[in-house]
Amino acid sequence: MDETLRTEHADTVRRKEDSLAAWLLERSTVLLGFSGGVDSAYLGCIAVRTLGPERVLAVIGRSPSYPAVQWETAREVAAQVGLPVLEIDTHEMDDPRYAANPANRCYFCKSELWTLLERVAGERGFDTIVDGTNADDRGDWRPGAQAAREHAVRSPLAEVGLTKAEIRYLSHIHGLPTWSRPSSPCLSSRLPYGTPVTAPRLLQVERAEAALRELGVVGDLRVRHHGDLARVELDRSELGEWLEPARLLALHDAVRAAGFARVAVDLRGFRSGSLNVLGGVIPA
Amino acid sequence: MSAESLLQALAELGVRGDIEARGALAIFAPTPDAAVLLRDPAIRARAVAIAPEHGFTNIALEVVERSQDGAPLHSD
Repeated sequence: MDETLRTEHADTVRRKEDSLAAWLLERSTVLLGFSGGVDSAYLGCIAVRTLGPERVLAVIGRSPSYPAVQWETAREVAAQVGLPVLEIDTHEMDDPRYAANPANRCYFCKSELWTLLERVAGERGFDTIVDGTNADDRGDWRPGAQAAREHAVRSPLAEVGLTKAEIRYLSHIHGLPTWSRPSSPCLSSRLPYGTPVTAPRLLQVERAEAALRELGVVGDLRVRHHGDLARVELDRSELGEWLEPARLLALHDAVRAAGFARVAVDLRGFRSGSLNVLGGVIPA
Repeated sequence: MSAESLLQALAELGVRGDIEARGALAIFAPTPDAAVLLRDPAIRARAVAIAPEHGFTNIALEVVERSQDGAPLHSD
């Protein structure tokens, strides 16, 4: 927990939460794109507390590009806060523009998601579609944001200026289990741009990351897929410990069991968007 | 991108091994001594810092199984 948020900025953060509640009250009904991650769980919690469960619906878009465990978490969090949930299947993997894995891959995924959510909103009479984009996200490389704009999806967390750290702080205050969970973007983000997104590759990554969690890896973790080689990014605070020979060998064996011939550990440790850097999409 | 110049720079830190370049990714297979050295956060930080000077955005330590005499084992 960030001590500065506990003290100096707590009032400011609370005011942002009040602004969020006011923003939600200006809408009659809200349909939430819900992953069960830190941001959408917090937004769902505040939305249901502010508007009541009859005026909020969280929609989970299931696809092979997310690990199965994520949906279990999403359901648990929704149940905890009393958030109504609808689960739908998305089919971005069937779109060759997505499967080719260009640098703007996220645009095609989000286009599919928001198209389906627009349909649900129309059928069920929800007037505003929202997502969990926060204020920090706006500085990142996020081609999916264009799809959100095209479908008039609003981002209330970003609009009231809530950052990731602030959302974690408020989630902790509200007793949400997500407050300390690492971010978990879709599995396709583990494939370098230009490497086609296929179900077997995603499954390899999902299995390798699950095996490493089973082994005791905590904090941020990404298994980047470089064909025969898996490049493991560990939380920087954990990296030194995992370079100890016995643990390194255990890590190696766990990742190889997921179907990679070779295993390497990134010496920098976890870096959000590292494949954007490697692919030259954003500067190093 | 120069794997050779990065290898030389790493050797100056006492870290020896082989490098396979995959675009801007340097895959570094260390000698047993180098693997021990890279457990030191300061040396690791230095290795990460010098990689971009040689055209690499990322440097990753390949986990190589070795026999008792230190020779790499084939994993397949």
